[in-house]
Amino acid sequence: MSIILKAEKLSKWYGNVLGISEISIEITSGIHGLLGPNGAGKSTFLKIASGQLKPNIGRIKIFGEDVFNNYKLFSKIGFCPEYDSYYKEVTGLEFTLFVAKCHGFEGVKAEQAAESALKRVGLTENKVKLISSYSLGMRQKLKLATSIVHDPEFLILDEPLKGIDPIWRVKIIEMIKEFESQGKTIIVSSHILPEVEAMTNNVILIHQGKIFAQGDIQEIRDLIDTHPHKISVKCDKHRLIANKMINSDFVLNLQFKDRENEVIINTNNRENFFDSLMRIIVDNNINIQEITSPDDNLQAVFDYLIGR
Amino acid sequence: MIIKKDIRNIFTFFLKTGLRSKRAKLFFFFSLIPVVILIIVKIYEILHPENKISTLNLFSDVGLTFYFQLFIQLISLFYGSSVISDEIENKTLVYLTTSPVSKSSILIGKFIANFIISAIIILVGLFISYLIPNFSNFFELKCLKEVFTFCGIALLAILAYFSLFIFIGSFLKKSVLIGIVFIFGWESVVQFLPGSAQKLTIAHFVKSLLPTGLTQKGGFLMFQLKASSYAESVITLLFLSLLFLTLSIIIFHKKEYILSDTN
Repeated sequence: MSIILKAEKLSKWYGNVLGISEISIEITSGIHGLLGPNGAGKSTFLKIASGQLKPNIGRIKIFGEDVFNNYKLFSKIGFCPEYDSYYKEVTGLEFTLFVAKCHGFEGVKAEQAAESALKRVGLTENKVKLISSYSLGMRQKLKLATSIVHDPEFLILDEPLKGIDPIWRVKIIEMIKEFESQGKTIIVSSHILPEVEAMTNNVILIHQGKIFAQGDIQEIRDLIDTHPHKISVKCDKHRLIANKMINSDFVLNLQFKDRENEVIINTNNRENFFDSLMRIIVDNNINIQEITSPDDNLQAVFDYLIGR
Repeated sequence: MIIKKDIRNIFTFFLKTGLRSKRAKLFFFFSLIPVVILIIVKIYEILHPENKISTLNLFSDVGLTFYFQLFIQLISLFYGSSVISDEIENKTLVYLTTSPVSKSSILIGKFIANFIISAIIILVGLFISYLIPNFSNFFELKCLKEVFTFCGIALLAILAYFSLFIFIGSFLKKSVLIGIVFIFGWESVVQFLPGSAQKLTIAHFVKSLLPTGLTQKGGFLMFQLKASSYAESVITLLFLSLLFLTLSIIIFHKKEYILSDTN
């Protein structure tokens, strides 16, 4: 898989304030969730990636080219910024059309591109209204429309779902996934983990200006050996399962919730645990209601990594 | 050709939005202040022909002072400095710099749009102000020549001040404040200094171009120094415009603009 974005020891600070520190990363096609709390350095990284800021140290290349002041590169990049900024005295259509023309579309083709982008984000009905009359969610959709109007190969989306209603959140997540299926590269920044989880398992965790972890969320979780995996099993014979497992090496402790017919098991080896669990279920003909991993989600991984 | 198309796109967008803006409407309203005063005086002049107040004197005393001493500088300041600073303050620069358009095209396109808006506002007011006292003999060659001279000088003045304020706006955050200090401080005070210090102002070269017959009547030009020649004035104003514009393009190209608090 070819590398779309390559950053080497990227550092940026604002006076005495550190933005990011020695970030080295390679990004290939697909959706990449850039995660971190507010102030972690996500936006600084994206601003450097979108050519708005120059790194103090290090370098970044997209499609093998330097980014800052390389305006021609932006015919292949779409950027949705975090700020709620807009031109007050223009309509959504006029603005999208302007962006389309900046990307080289002319005449009818520019109009078609603008109309199509607005339709994809659900702004067709409001396209002739002034942007100043738009709600926050509509302005957010407009930013998304302008970032996709030229059908870019690489999309950088900084908090793209901010202020958008739940129905359109789902539709936009689907749209982003569709871009992925077309072989495009997408970086999505968010501090709302379930949003990213709905789009991808491939994450970059950033905290205090540094990359904490990168890769598949399950793989990252497996590497965190300081925090055992928590597995919840709900069934009518939960105490039997506990009894069969209590002496296993990989089981650290057990907790019962009898009211819910549930046993929560902490294990340091998920694979062995599940092998054993499956055997017990089959051998004892147990009807399972539910098996879940309460801490096998992004939030838990994130909390463990940043030491919350 | 691509550069030309980019400039045209930027120009068209900002001309359209600029003409619709509240700022343009406000400046247009202010530009008509001398017109209103002259209309009132003209009516009074017609009703009381024995009175000594004349619109012709008033045009050189009030009209020219208003446009050449104050309004051109102010409109150039607000429109010139806003070419870049508006984009930074409103955080809209990101839409321009993340499109495949060179920074030079962005600056030139927006400069032309804002310059044309300022010129329209100034020239309409100046033209009507001139028309009111000269209504009966307006189509005489002398009058036509004079009004076009005023308009030409106004355009040159706007160009020079505009370029200076784009330059200031390209690297200073509080460009309007600095510009006001420049207009009401430097440009005004240096006029009264002895020696050739006033050649360090744009106002000197603009005033040197104004027809002296009219301006002497109103005592508009207060020169400690002899006026510079027309050729020297025109060349200096054009040179300064080109210099400041070039510097603005270089700064805009090199400078990193931080649009908001970072996280």
